[in-house]
Amino acid sequence: MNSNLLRPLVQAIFVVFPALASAADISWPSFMWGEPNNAPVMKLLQEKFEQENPGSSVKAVTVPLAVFWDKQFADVASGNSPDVVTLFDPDVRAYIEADLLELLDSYLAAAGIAIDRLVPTERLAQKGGKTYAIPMQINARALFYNEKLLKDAGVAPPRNVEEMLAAIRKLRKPDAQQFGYATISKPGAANLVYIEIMPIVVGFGGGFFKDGKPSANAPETIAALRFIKTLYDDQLIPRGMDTQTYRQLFVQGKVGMYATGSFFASVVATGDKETYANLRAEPLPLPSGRTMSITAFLAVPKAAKNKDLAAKLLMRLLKDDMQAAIVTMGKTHPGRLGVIPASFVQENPWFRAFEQATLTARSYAPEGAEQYGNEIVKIVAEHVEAMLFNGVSAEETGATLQKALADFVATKKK
Amino acid sequence: MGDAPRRALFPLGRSARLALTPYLFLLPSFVALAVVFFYPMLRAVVLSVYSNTVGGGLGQFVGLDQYGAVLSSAYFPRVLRTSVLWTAGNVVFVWGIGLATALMLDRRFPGRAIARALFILPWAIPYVAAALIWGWMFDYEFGVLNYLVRATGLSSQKINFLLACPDALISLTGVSIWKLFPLGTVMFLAGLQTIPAEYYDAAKVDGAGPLQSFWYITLPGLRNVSIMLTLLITIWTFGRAFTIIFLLTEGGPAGCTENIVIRSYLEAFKFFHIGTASAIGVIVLVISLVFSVAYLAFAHRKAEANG
Repeated sequence: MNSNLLRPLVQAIFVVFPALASAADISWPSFMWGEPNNAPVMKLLQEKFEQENPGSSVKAVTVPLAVFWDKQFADVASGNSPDVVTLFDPDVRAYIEADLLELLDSYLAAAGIAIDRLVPTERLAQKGGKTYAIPMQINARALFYNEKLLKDAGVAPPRNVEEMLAAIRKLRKPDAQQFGYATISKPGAANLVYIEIMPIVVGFGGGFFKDGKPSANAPETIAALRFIKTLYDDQLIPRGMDTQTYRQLFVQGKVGMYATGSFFASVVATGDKETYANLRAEPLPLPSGRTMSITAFLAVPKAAKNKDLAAKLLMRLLKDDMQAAIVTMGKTHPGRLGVIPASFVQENPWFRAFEQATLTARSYAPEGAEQYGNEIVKIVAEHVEAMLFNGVSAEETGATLQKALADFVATKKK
Repeated sequence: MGDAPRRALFPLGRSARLALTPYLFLLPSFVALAVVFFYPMLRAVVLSVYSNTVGGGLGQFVGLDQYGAVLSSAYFPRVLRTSVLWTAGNVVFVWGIGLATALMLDRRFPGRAIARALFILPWAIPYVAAALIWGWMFDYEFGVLNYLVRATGLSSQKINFLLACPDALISLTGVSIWKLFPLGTVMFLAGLQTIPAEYYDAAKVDGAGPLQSFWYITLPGLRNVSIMLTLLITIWTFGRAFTIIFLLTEGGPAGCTENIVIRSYLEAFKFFHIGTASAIGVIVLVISLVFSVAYLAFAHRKAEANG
């Protein structure tokens, strides 16, 4: 074959099958490469790792969030695993149960990192005392609020449920399309519905699972559902709006309060300088004093091509300088405890609420049934949607959901 | 070298080579189909008789257990019912609206060519773009439809286009019908042109009115087109109802718009149940196959009748 034709062909093969390009390429496809808070941190890690490991490179592949989980699962299931996978709370359990992840204990020991110095939700990445994933960051939920909007409405930051509801009502201005609070009010994506309601449910002291048993009809859970239903029925939250849209409303100064993770500060900072200047945060003013968290875990699949190098990359992330970068550049709590730079908290006092919440936050994965998280999330979201959109009462929702979850658990015991 | 007899590439006689030639032309298409169509289909059948496993490779052989579990599950009757309602809604309205617009566009009037092009437009818009456009139009807070409903005084309350059941299923079916009715229009327009004008002239002489002409000439004349269209829309909407539903409601609210195809996706990609998802896929395939066989039988019969 003509060499003029051969060269582009070979190049094309390397483009299509990047794994052939170099044995020392760590493939790390992630939606985080495209996120304003995470991308700079990941690029810094990439830069440092490549400097410290000549001949090795980290392949940054940006995969849009909308397709990321499906793609990652398809890659792993088809035996075409990347070297690093990103997993949230329920998924990390499912992957561990399916024996898909490489053990990281020896790498952690070599790096001198003790497990008890990692965030409490690290327990999700452990089985039989062995560690299969490391926490990249944890997003415990606290209440962000726009101080200016609250002041203009003559409202103080709420300290309990009653004050919170009163503040939400006072901030609602239909003519100005202004809302006191925003949370999920669009059906469909079960995960989003679940993630958005969980801070409130946990805040009321409730939950849908406790010690592996359904607890949807617990009085605290029903009280939380009643609170969420009131917000929807009284049109206090934007209806039919997806998360991205009402987050934008907050950025534009149209929403007074929103319970989410500290990552959101980066979104506000890049979106609107004025709103960022007025951004404050407090722990959720709900009875239990606890909140819910999402942890982004990183792991090395057993089928990865560069397991050793990938594990070393993860350990590099746990070093002091990268942990500090996660806080200062990413505005999120990193996987290790006690590494928050004091100067950062001084400059960003809102971060205190998140630092505090991290220590006691409960994972959003159903407690004791984490490996079935996605199925449970679907069942819960369907019942919550029926409550919000089909007029079912909170009490009835608790009762029917309890039965549905009990039936589900029974199928898993067979 | 020039005098030496050329050796044939294949040691076959001329007649055998001629007989093989059409198959060689078909080979690339067959290979492409085998890779992207037959192999995945076969793989789905194989996966459906193995237990659910996340990693590469097969799980444990379970025979028809996955099918038993799907057919006896609590969700199956619900998602099947949604699929049937969705399909029936599409078939009836694509047929009806397609026929009505075809009758209208078959008449001579100024700007007919432009009108025909405009009616085809929804068909040309990609599904994803259509879903996003309709998603904004249906939006409860800022959607143009709710604005129009209130501005024209049709209702003082906003409508929960995608936020209540069965409203969401009706809205989504509406979007699908809007996308598909041009196909009905085109097919009926073609069908109308095959009905000889003399039939209508004779009917007029016999004193038949427009309704009688429609009933006794147009409808029987469009019988073949109607059957073809019904079968095509049934096959397409039953087994391929995914994009619009997934983008607008993802099966919600409360599972109201979750059909059998969406469930298959959820089982595979959300719950990591590859075996279960494959079994659902095979069930969809079998149901669609019934209609496909009917379609092919009808097409074959029609071809024979036309000589």
